[in-house]
Amino acid sequence: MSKPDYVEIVEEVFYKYKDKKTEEFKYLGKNVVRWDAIAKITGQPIFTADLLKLVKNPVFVYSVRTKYAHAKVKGVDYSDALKYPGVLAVFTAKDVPGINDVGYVIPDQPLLADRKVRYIGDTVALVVAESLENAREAGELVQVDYEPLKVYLDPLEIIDPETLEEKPHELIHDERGTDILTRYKIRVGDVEKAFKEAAVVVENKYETPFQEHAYIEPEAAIAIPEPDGGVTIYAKTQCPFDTRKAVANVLGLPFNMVRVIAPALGGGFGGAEDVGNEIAAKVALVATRLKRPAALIHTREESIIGHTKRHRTISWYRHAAARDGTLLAVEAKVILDKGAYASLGPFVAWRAVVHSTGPYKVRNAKVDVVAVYTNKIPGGAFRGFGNPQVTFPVERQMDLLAEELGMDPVELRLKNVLRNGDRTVHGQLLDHGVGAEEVIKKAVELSGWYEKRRLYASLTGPVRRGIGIAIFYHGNSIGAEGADYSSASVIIQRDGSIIFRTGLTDMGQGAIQGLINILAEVLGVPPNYIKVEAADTAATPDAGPTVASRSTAMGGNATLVAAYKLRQRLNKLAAELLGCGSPDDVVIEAPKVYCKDDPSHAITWRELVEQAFWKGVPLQEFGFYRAPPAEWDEETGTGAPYFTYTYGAIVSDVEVDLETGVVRVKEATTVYDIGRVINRTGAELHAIGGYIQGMGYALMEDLYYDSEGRLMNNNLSTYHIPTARDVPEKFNVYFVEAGYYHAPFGAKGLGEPSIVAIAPSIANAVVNALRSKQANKLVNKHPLTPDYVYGLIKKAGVKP
Amino acid sequence: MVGIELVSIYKPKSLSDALEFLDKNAPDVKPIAGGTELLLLIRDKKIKPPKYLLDLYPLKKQLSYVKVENGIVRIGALTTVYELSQSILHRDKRFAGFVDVYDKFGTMALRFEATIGGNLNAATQYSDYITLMLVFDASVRLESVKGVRELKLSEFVLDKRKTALNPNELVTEVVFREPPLDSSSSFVKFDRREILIAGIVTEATYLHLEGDTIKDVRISFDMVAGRRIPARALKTEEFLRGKSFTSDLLEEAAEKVLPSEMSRVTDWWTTADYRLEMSKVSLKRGLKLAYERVKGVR
Amino acid sequence: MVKVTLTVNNVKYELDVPPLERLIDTLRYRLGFTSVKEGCGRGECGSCIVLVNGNPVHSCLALTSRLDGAEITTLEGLAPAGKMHAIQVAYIEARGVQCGFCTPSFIMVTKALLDRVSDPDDKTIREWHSSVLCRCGSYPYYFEAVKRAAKYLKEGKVYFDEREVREKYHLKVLAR
Ligand SMILES: Cc1cc2nc3c(=O)[nH]c(=O)nc-3n(C[C@H](O)[C@H](O)[C@H](O)COP(=O)(O)OP(=O)(O)OC[C@H]3O[C@@H](n4cnc5c(N)ncnc54)[C@H](O)[C@@H]3O)c2cc1C
Ligand code: FES
Ligand code: FES
Repeated sequence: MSKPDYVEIVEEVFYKYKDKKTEEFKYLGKNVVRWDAIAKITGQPIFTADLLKLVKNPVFVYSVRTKYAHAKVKGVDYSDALKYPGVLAVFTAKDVPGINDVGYVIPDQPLLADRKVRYIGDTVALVVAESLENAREAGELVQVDYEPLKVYLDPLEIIDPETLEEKPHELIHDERGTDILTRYKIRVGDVEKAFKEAAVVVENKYETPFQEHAYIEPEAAIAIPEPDGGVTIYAKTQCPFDTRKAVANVLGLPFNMVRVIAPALGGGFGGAEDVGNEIAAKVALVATRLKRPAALIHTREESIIGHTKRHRTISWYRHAAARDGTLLAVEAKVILDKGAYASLGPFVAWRAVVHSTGPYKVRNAKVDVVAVYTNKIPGGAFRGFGNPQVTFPVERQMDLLAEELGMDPVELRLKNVLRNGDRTVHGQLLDHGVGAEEVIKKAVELSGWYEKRRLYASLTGPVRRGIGIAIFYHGNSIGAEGADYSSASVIIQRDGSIIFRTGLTDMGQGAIQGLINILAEVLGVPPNYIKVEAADTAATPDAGPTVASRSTAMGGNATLVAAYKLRQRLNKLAAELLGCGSPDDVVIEAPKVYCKDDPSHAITWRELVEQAFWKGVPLQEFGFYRAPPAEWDEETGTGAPYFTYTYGAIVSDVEVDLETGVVRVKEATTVYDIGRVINRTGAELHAIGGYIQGMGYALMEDLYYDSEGRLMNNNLSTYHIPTARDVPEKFNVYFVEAGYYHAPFGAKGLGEPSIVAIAPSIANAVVNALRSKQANKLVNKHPLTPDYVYGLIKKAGVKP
Repeated sequence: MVGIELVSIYKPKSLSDALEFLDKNAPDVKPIAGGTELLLLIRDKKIKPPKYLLDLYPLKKQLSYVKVENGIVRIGALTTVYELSQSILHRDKRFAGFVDVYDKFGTMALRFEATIGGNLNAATQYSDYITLMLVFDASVRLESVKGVRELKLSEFVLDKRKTALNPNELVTEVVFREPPLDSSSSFVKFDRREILIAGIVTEATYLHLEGDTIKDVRISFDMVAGRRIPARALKTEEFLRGKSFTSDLLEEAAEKVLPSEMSRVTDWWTTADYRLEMSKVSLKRGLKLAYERVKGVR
Repeated sequence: MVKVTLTVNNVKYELDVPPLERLIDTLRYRLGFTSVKEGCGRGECGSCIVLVNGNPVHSCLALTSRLDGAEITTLEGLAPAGKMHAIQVAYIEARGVQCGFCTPSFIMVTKALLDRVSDPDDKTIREWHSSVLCRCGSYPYYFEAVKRAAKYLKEGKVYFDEREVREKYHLKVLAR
């Protein structure tokens, strides 16, 4: 079978420019001011809630949420609420015209609770009023008759950690007949034999916390009823096409009657996936019923209880190694605390299992990952998506092993890390594009690893310093989770300016700038010729979800394909107009267009476009790209789960106050192999911004529930995220470029990878500061809060 | 905001007008200064919206000042935290505790709104200026149409969100005696992050030295025993007074004396044990810092 | 209802507001100044900061009814029409904007800071910037923006031509 043309184009471009240095490109890899910077620094109304000022006569929707974490709903009485001033309607499950479900991967999550509630956050009714205040006030008058059930907050009440069998209990999801959501495994080689033959075995139990996205923009959605019975929705959503599907299901409408537009997002980080669907469905339901625009704006508290979190995990790891440090086997059990609904849990669990042995050559592995429902806010997507939760134990284990073996942590990692020509634990051959060794070496060099290890070992007094490393790999895009395609449209206008659209959204990450850079580079026009339109389900083909660090690689390929085809046509025309020897000799350096050998004889870009218009050369193009299907064997956990991997090494340099347990990061070094730096500004912002978010995850962030399942820290003074004063004094950022041939100019993703290994690097640095073998074993969870660190300092007997 | 229709706001023309309004309408009036505490209490439904808000902004000119006169330090109730930072209190080592509180107070922007009077009247264990001013042995000046009275801060703050303020009174001033030259102060507060924190524990120290002898010392914490309001650690002070300042002494005060009067609570943020340990560390650090300041090494 | 006269971005408004109306709601919904963002409504995130008589103030914790006669500046009013303030240009050039939800407040805080300290050191910048939370983690870039802005202002460059900035950093009108 011959390759599709889009694959050929991507490969051709990759090989043509493989050896060209990034600095030699005109726009790729340059520090370009992002396309929306001016709108943002002038305070334009670009976020969903801002658009309310353009909407006349809206109604406001408030979600009445359950006060019980686990209960049967026996009846809802909203007669009093209806009498409250300004209240127009109250809707409950029975008012849903289509399917009352917004489950992301499986249909386990009603939009409006019907029989049961499963966590404090489930919506039981929607109150609609002329003002948000009135809707809220009236919400308090909705009476719900509950029959409380036992509340499960600890997954170990539901699953036996030894056998991983489900324990008898009152089911949260009785309709499914089980509270085990999914199981994934890896079975390769002969683990038992390897452990028997190993010189060194280390094992430990690990825990990672829930993490709240805490994007600064709380969720908002506005729906406008359309004359044809359809609806247009502006909503904070990362994935407008998924949102459209959810809304269409809830309303019982065909997809083409539901139009979803994603305005600028004030942060997403994965959090604006499910909740986007949910709020869109709520306002759409109201708008279509009342035939008035409907708006919903979350408070911070509603945002925190109303959207998914990074899954908490509990895991047990065993590693076996030979005396020379060669890894022999990994055995692991990982339990994901799922919270009340599946959300993206099945995919998160899968990504966790795939990455569960780290970026190392591992030939014997036995891993089980299980996702277990509890009565807490559901776990869902969050930058890293299951990988941080396994990278923490893996990278802690490596430091335990290093200590047992008397090796430097860097040497141990270099000994085992994946290189070109190696196979992953799943048997996938990595024939090129593996920059793992280089990232380690660069991080070691930039951080002054060896000098600092020596220096810090000699420090005395109550304040110690420590330096730690963690490495990781991260499969790009969605892999075997589903069909992986993307699209973009490019239309050159008659004045030479360009309109660019993709169905991928910008949640602030700026990946679209990468696509602009690719388009600019290929066409030969400066980025300021290109206007980007918001993601709109009515205007672009489905580009797949904006998740999984897929924008630059997948969106970039679609953009590359469109740009390439346009450029071919324009080259041909220009060659005719200018009399160049071959279309390949055409140089476009807009506004100038000329033949390679005669720069003095030029026409302008605008003239070229005008000629194309008159000669009937199409000035518009759709780019489409589909990734090669991933392979995955459910029984063995083998195959080729992702088409390529991003690699990274993080070195953290911390200060530990032995008397208080307070840990502060002083300096951070982040080195990533992202194939090719397409958007340098965006990449650096991720290397730093991702670190800061990961530092929060490592040191301060966690959710706390009372025994009834009520979240205790639902605002930003009790849920700590890093402030300006917590930022390390110094960052060292570097990019390795081990390009991948099925990506635009070789580029790989960085959105998610930028958080994956931060927490273990900080934990390893803390251990280094404590200089205690016992502490090494005791640092087995995060956040590394002052009380936790203080406790282990005491337990390990570390003295100033 | 909740209950919008029900509330009226009164803008007094003068202090006496304000006091008259209060007297007439108490207890259905709440004075509002910066509003950073009060508006959140209303928002979170921790209190019912009052019938009247008495806007204190019109009294700003009159009640916003820091003065040192005749050996007395006077701070107007409407002085904002930022204004404090522009005053003598931030330039004289004796008041260095004010600089420490400021450094960890809210966020920079909040310091332009929060007032000292609001802080004392908020009366929670997180009112950092209560903790601090306890060690200056400050008093609050309370005014009503009936007249003026002065109350020690320790007698003013009765319990969490409960003060000795009568509904017809306003706090107009905080006063304390100007400390002697060989004295200084400090405030210790830390948490998971640097700022926008409640503090795992908070501690304030006032130290007066004669050579190396502790002539006088006052110590307070965000809480000492049982009640969730700042209080002095009197036994510890007593133990330290008159002794020679050594690290052994600090150790003994922290390990032996303080635990005898300190009882801490466990909540979802952290444990009583850890808070007790951190109270000890804060005590030692606070004293050491104040000592170094007196000695001029800081 | 309370009658108040506010000057917002140099324009006088006479308003009749409920006593508990928050300044943020007046600015966003009554007057349409959408640069003012609500991230928490509790004085924590700082994304609602505006200048009231030159001071940075959380508009979510301020009541409009109390601000009779006040001069309020939001990001929209930082520069005259057709111009861009040096601080805005500095924020563009420092390249720190990600989602941009926090940026208006960082710019307003920068204005308040540079009005008081013309050449702030790192510690001072961090202190002032602790007023606003940025979850995208752009902080170091925003520190840099303050320095860049301070430099422009010292050189006497207060306003830039908006069209020139736009053409340089965003969309260009193509010459024939
Ligand atoms: C995000 C955030 C962070 C914070 N961080 C800190 C912190 O680090 N440290 C800290 O100590 N506090 C902190 N606070 C709490 C609060 O800001 C302070 O207590 C502040 O000083 C209160 O002052 P205010 O003027 O805003 O008080 P208001 O809210 O105006 O008033 C508080 C109370 O005092 C009463 N009142 C005010 N003035 C008078 C008067 N003159 N006479 C009689 N009664 C009066 C009011 O009726 C009300 O009951 C924080 C608050 C927020 C929102
Ligand atoms: S909205 Fe005002 S501080 Fe967050
Ligand atoms: S840029 Fe997104 S919060 Fe600051």
